Amino acid sequence: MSRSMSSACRQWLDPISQYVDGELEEELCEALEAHLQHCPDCRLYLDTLAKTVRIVRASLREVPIELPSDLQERILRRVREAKSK
Amino acid sequence: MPGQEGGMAAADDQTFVAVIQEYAPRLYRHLLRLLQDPQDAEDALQETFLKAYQHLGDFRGQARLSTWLYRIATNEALMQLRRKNPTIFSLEALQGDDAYPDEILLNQWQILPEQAALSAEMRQVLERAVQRLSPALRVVFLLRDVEGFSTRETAEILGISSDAVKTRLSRARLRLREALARYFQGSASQRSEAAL
Ligand SMILES: [Zn+2]
Repeated sequence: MSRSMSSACRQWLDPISQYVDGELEEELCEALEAHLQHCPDCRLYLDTLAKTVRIVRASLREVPIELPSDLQERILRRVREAKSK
Repeated sequence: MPGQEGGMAAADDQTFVAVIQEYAPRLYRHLLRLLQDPQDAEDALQETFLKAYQHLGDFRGQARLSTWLYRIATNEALMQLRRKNPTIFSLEALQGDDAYPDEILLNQWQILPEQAALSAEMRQVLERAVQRLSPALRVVFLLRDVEGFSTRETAEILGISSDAVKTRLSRARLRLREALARYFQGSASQRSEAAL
């Protein structure tokens, strides 16, 4: 079951992102919390945005990284070349 | 270039090898996500360490080493992107980032984030959504949410205001959230179809 967000609630989208990081300034923070009390849509947006951030952190940060073979060597060679110039 | 000799002589070779070993993999992954091309990412990585080596003398005592290296690497990548497409950071291109999608999906996610994150399919959905972001949004999102820099550090790396970082991050997350909402909606309807 999915619905779309009302245009009146869209003004809260940016503040909600800052709220997730605990970086929303105090006054706005109080206003947002008052709005959240009676707005299930913004509560759902907050919940799913916070989950998005957690999924990103747990997923994209943990991707194993493999350097192309010899890349480290090629970097060192270039650095040494530049040094001997 | 006699002016640089002091810096180079001061640069300790073995320390620098250790720096490459520690940071090359992370920086390469960051550059790959930014540039979307292995050869471009490799070129940018080489340039990054070359510049880092040449300016090692300037580094001492300043910001954290990782912030400094990411700044060099990110600027290198942004320069490459601009060279390929000079209008990429034009006002018009940035205005597109301000537009909210017509629809913002509001479905419940019955998932545990850390568990959902383990799926390879989920990772693909995310990587593709990251690739669809405009470069201006992508770079902020990668530095903040993937590489884990603070708002201030990200602002410093990119030379933009903290407010600009917050706004762009919000717009990027919104798009990522939308991709996940569509994905969860799809997999939920698949499950209920399977149950029928
Ligand atoms: Zn609302």
